[in-house]
Amino acid sequence: MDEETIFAQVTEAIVRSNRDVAHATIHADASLVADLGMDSMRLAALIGELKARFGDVDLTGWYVTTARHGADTVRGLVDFLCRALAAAP
Amino acid sequence: MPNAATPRLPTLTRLSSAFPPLRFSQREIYDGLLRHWYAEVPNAWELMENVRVRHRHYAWDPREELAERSPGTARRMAAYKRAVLAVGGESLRGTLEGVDRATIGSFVMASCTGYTGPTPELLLARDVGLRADLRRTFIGHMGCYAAFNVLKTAMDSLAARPDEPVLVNCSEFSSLHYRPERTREQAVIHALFGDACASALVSMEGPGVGVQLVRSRTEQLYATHELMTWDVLDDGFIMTLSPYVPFVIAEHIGGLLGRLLGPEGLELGDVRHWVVHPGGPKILDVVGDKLRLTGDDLGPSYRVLEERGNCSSTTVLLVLEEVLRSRSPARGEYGVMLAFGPGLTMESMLVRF
Repeated sequence: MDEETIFAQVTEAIVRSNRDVAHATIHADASLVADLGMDSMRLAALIGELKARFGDVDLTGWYVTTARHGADTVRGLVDFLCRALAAAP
Repeated sequence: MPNAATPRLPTLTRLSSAFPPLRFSQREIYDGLLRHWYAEVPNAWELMENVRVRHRHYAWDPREELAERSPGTARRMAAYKRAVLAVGGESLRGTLEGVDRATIGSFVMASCTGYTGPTPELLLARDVGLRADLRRTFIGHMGCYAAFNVLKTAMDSLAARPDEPVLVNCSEFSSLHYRPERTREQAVIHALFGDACASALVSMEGPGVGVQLVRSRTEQLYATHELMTWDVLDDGFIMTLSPYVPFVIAEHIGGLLGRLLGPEGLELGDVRHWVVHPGGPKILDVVGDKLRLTGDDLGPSYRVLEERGNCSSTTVLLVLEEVLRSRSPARGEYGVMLAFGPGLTMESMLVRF
C-alpha cells in the first residue's frame, strides 16, 4: 500500500470516527488532539477504524511519539503506518 | 502442619478503607470552581460527566483553598500531614481491631501525594501502637499501581519471616494538588482523582482464610515513560496524562495476562473475579474489550470510579473491598488484580479466594 493510499485511508478513518471534523480541514500537520479536538472516545473509534483497515497493526510505537504535545499529527500517523506495514511479514 | 496439597501463601486477611469527611458531587466542584477555570475549554462539563465520576472525597475544599491563588507546596504538604495521620490512621485502626499488635513484624506503606519526615508510616505506627522493633518501608511517588509494590514487599517479607504478619497501607490525597492551568488535560485530571486510604493485614495462611496472593507479574514499557508524569512544582505536584495511555495498555494487556496465568496452568476463562484499577473510564473499556469481560465483571471497578474517583494507589484495594462485599467470591475461585501507572508500568496479581 503506497503512502498516498494510506493518507487517504487515514483521512477517511478520521472523518468516520470524528463527525465534527470536515474532510477539508484535515491536513498533514494537524494534531489529532490539539488541532482536531479528538478525546479518548473519538481516538478509540479512530484506532478501531485503523485496525480494521490495516490488519490489527500494533500502534505502540506511534503512541510513544504522541507524548510530546502536538506530536500526534496526521503525517506522523501515516509515516508510522507506512513503516509498520512495510515491515509486516 | 500444612502439607504440599495445602501450601501456605501470603494471604490478605483483613481490609478496611477510610475517607476524608468532605464529600462533594462532580457538579458541586464544577459549579464552585472548575466552571470558572475551564470557561475556555470546550465542553468542559461534558468532559466532567464523561469520566463517570459522580462523587469524591476531599482532604480539603479546593473551592476555598484555591479561590484566590494556587497554594505553595509547603501549605499543601502541611495539609497532607494532617490528612494522612487522620484518615490513614482511621483505616489502620479498622484493620487492627481485635488484632494483637505485638504480632506484626513489618509495616509497608505507599503514598505518592505528599511528603513529610519522619515518614508517615513511622508516625502512624507510633499512633496505632506497633512495636518498637517494627520493620518499616515507605514507598513514595510511584503512582496508581503502588498497592502492588506494597503487597509484593509483604510477600517478600513473609517469604523471609513467614510467622510475622505484615501490615500494609495506601494513603492518597490527590485533591491537595488541584492547580489552575486552564488546559483540557488538567480538566480531565481534576475531574478524575479523589482521596482515600486503605489498610490490610497480610499473613501466611492456608486456603480459605482470606485472599491468597498466588503470583505477581510486573511489566515496564520503558519507551512510553513520557505518556504519564508526576512532578513536584513550587505550588504542588503536576500530572501529565496522555489520552493515548488506554490504547497502549490495550496493546499489551493480553500478553501480560498470558504471562501471569500461564505458569499456573490457567487461562482467562479460569478467572472469576476482576479487580481492575479504574484509572479512567476508557482504561476500563479497553481492558474489558481486550479481555472480553462483561459489565458485571467490571462492576466493582466502575462503582469505585463513580463513587470515589481514581484514588491512585488506594484504588485497587477499594475495588478488592467492593469485590469481596458485592460478589462474595467462593473459596478456591481465582481473581486477577490489575493496575497501571507511570512508566508506563503494568502490575498484575493472581489471587485465590
